[in-house]
This record gives sequence, structure tokens and C-alpha cells, in this order.
Amino acid sequence: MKLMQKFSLYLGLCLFAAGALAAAPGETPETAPAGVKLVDAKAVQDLQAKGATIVDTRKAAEYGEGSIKGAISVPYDPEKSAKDANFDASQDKFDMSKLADKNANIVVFCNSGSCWKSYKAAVVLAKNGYKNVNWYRNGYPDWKARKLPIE
Amino acid sequence: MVYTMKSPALLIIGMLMLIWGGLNNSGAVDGMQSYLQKSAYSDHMKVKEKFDAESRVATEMAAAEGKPAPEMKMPASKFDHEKQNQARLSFVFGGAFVLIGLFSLAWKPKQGNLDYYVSVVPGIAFILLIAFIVRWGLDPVFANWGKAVKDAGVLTWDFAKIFNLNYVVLGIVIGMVVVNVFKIPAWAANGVRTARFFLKTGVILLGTLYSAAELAQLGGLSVIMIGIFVLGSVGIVLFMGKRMGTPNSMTAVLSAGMGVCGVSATVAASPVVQAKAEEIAYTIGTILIWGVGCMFLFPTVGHILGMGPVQFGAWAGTGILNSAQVAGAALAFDPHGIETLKVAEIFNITRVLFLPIIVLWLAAWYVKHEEGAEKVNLAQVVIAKFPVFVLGFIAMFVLSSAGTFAPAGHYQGKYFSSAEVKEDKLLKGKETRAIEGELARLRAAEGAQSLNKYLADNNFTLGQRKVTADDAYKAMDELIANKKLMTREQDTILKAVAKMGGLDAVAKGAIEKASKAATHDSKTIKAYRDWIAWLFAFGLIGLGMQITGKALKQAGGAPLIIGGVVGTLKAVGSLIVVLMFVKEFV
Repeated sequence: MKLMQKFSLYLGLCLFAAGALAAAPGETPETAPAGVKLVDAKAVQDLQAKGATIVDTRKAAEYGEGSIKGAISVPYDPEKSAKDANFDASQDKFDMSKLADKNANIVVFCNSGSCWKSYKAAVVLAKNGYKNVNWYRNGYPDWKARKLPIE
Repeated sequence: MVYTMKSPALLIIGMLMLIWGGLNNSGAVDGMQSYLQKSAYSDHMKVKEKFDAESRVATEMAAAEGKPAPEMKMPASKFDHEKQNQARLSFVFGGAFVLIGLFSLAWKPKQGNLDYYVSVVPGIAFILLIAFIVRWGLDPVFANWGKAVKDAGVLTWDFAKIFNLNYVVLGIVIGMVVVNVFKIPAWAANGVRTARFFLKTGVILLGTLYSAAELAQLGGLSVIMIGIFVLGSVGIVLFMGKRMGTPNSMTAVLSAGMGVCGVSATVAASPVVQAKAEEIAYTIGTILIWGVGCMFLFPTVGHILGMGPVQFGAWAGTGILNSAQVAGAALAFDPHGIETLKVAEIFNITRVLFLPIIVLWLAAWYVKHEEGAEKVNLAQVVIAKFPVFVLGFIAMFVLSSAGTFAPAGHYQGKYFSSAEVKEDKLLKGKETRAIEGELARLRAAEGAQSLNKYLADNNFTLGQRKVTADDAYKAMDELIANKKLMTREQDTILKAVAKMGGLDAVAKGAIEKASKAATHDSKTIKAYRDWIAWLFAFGLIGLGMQITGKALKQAGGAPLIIGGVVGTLKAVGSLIVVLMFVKEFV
């Protein structure tokens, strides 16, 4: 009986420890991955004025709700890989056929630091030979807070 | 006799609760809570992202003008509300238990009412503490595990959902573990006996969730078929129980479980017929084992017989006992089509809505049979012995049907209303343009062909007729014009269109958003649902604590036999009826 009691207690403790450990994943790195440039809202505006393609990597429905004016929707979806810099891109889907010109300026964004989609999309693009990939880490919430044009 | 026992247990439980409340308020357990309250936490991240961006921009702008950074406060998210709610409950009950605990240690108890009331508090505190652990800990943990196992591809189904591993079943199981492994501490014994009272209160409130108006909206055949099978199974169980000599209470609980909707019907019927705790456990066990077996067997039989989606939905909704398993079987039969699931759900809802009738019937039946003697005037006995709380349940059901708590057409608090769609949930320009684009594509020759084929293949129905391409065009046109859904019909049609393969993702998202925006969840009934969950969790933990190994042995295998026979009869009977009468429409 004593053993059973100890076992049950132990099981209970494990359960909650597992819960505590499985806590929220971390934020994206503060620096851009290799071959990608980190940009802020001002730089995105300048790039857009020069004809850069602005890519919303969030889900299509989120893009429909509202996005940077003039952005196109290329969802990094489904995103099944780990939220970590060593993610396995083969588990995810990102349709690059909408981005034909590998030399064009491209800006990818999603929902600021906790969202990994734009980070992963940037890595995938750079690895596939896109020369001018820009990562707008602060993303849509930042753009909206600055009251820049949205649609 | 003096009931109150000198024990520091109540004080300790109260302090544990206060500590949990404090931990929640201080944010010390945020990591764990973010795992337990997943959906609330994802809302929290969205609110936080928006706030972080706003405060960063505000700080930057202030710095550029040489002003100090402005003070900003983050708006509360659903996650914050959930933590506040847990902290508030912990503080209220923890505080009360600490005070009463201190009082009972200092006080010299004298025989009387006060002594009795004080003596039940430690047991109530004990169960409530376990109820906190079950509802805030185990329930979400199991839900997360079920999903994780399914996502990882180990199982193709969510075991937590299929085996009903929510607070109802977990509560009973934990209660059983406590009594069989640890024994109920002496200081808690008196309070544990109050469990039944809380269960009854929960059953009264259960009446608020159902509405007769919803029954009127369901198809005629489903009501007739379900009526026959529900009442038929109840009758057969009652008859067999009598022949096999099982106790009246056991038979009655089992009949509710086999006839209506499995676990919740069992719980609702149990106090009506004064069922013993182990009888409830047996019934739930029988239903779950039977239901899971059916879930695997039905789709195979359906495929062998070449049943159509409507036929299979009708069969599963009638023959399988528990809601989660009905959905499981429908999805297993047809993972991509939604028509099977919809039909099964209609039948399932019809079955659940029979609960008030069954509760009334069982109350009358039980009163009559417990009295025994045949010459007794039934009407008199029923009036004298009829459980009062059943009247409470019926009264709540009537009020709910009259639209007192939520618009009369609601089902468990959910209802459709176009007028209540919020301003910021109207479709935006880009979303309507996406739908316009899809509408043009589906009107053109190639699109029209694929739309027609899709609608025909999946057999979408609207009352007594099929959904046509024209219905879809009209609904899309109106959605574009109004920027929201206007009728329940449009909702049904467009939800079907949204599931069509090859549809533009933005348009699909926009339709789903419009549907969500027009579906409302009554705040009043949501509050009732929460109360019911607490009362049931509390009552079932307490009942679980009365189930010892010895009691289970005494109840014996009779319920399993009756359950098996009636379940098989129902499954085979409904199969024959479905094959004979159900063609395409419900």
C-alpha cells in the first residue's frame, strides 16, 4: 500500500513537471539568418517604394483579415517543424512558385518575435538561391502600430 | 453525538488553495498554465504581440521628441481572465476554508446544527481540491495528450476524446483511486456524503442547455426514428432488468445510458432513481466499452454494405451511444465528406433532446416500482414521492425553450444571429474581392462543372431538397453584398462550399470567418455550463469515493450482459430500419 501511495504521488508530480517543461516555445533570434537582411518598418517602406515584393507568410485567412498594403500572400503553412533555428524545413510547405525572380528584393514578414513563419520562409528562400531576402521581424503588429498603410 | 473532528486538514487545504491563487496572480505558474490553457494562451500571444508593437512604437516616437516613454498597460487576454478566474475561486474558497479551519481548531464543538455544518466542510474542501486538480490539471493534460498522440500519427483518433477522458470520467476514476488506494480520511467522511446534493443541483441546471425549439428544426424522420429507438431501448432495458433481478436503480440508470446519450444521461438519471455510485460506474463503463467497439465496427460494416453518407450518418447517430464516438465513427467512415458527420450529428442531437422525457419517465417508473404493491394508486405515489429536483430540471428546460436564457432556437447555448454580428467582424475589402473572384470562377464553365460535381458527390441537403449550384451563387452574392451571413440557410450552403477542394484560401478563410461571426455562444448559458461542470465534477468525485472493489463485485456482471444485448438489438434494429427507409434525405 505504501508503495502504491508513493507511486501515485510520483505520477502526479511527473504530470505537472511535464506540463511545466512543455511551456511556450522561444522567440525567433534577434539577428537575421545567413544570407538574409534584418529590416525595420522604415526600410520596408523604402524597399516597397523601389518595387520590392512584400510577402505575407501568415495563413491566407489572416492575410484576408488585413495585411501590409500591396503585400502578396504566400503562406508558410502548414508549419509543422519545431520553433527553433535548427528547424527541418522538409516538414513544412512554402510555395515559392509565386516568387519567380531570384534577384528581386523580397521582404518576408508575419506576426513579430513569437511567429517563426517569416524566419523560416527567409531561411528557405536564401537556401534556394534568392539573393535579396529581407526579414521584417517586427512584422504586421509593428506596421499596424505605426499606422502605416494596411488593407 | 458530536461530528466535528479536530484536524488541521481543512486549514492545510485552505492554505494550498490560497497558495495556488497567489501563484496564478504573481505569474509564477505562467509556463505551466500556458501548456494547460492552450487556446487561451494563443489569444494571449496575439494580444501581447499587438501591445508590444504599440508600446515599442510609442517609446520610439517619444524618444524622437525627447519625451519620456509613455506608461501603457496591456489589455487583459483570455489567458489573463482564465488565471484571474482560477485565482478568484482559489481565494474565495481557500480563504473560507482557512477561517473555518481555524475556527474549528479553536472551538469546542457542541451537539447541534452548527456542529453538523462545520463537520461537512473538511470533506467538501477535500473534494473541491481534487475537483480543482481534475478540471484545471488533468482534464487539459489529457486533452493535450490525446491531440499530441493523434498529431504524431501514433493513433488515427484522439484517445482522450473517444474514451471520454474529460472531467466526468476522470472525476469518478480519481475518486475510486482515492478510496481504494488511500482510503478516505476520517475527517472528510461526513463531507463526502454531500456529493449527491451537488450532483442534483447540476442536473437542475442541465435543463438550461436544451431547447424544444431546436427539436422542431430537426428533420421529421430523425425525430421518429430516434423516438422509437430511444424509448424502445429504455423499455427493453427496464424489462430485462426486471427479469434478471437487478436492482431497480441499476436498471434505470442503465436504461438512460443505453437509451439516450451515454455518459451525461447516466449522470442526469442517477439521482432520479437514487442509483448507487458503483451502478453509475458500471453503466458508464458498459457504455464506453460498447461505444468504442461500435466506433471501430460500424464503419467497416457500413463499407461492406455500401451505405451512402446519409444512411451511415443516420445509423451511427441512432445506434452508437456516446456523442464523441458518433462523431468518431462518422469521420472514420468518411474522413473527407462532411455530410455523414452532419447527419450523424442531427441524429445525435435529437437523441440528446429526448433526455427530459426519459428523466420524467424514469422518475415515475422508479417511484412506482420501489413502492412495490400493485394496488397503490400510481398518481398518488408519483405526486407524493416524485423527486422535486426533476421538476427543477423540467422547469429550467421549459424556461430555456421559451428563450429566457438565450434565443429559443439555441442548442447548448449556441445560436445563429445575423443581427448580432459585430462591426469589426464584417468582411473586409480584400475578403469580399476574394469571394467575388471565386464566384466568377465557379460561374464559368469549368468552375460550374466542378462545383456541380462536388455538390452532387457529397449530397448536401437543405431541408428536403439538394443544394444546387444556384443556391451557392446566390449565397455568395448575398455574402458579398451584406459582408455577413443573413440566414442559417446561407450558413449551411457556404460552409459546404468552403470545404470544396481547390478553393482560394483567402475566400475560404473569409467564409469561415463569416460563419463564426454569425454563430454566437450565449454568455448566460456559458456560465451555466461552467457551473454544471463544477457541480458534476464535484458530485462525481464524491460518488467515485464510494466505489470500493467490494461494491463492484457485488453489483456483478448483469449490467454488462443487459448492456450488450440491448446495444446489439439497437445497432442491428437501426441498421435494418435505415437500410429500408432512409434513402437520401433526413
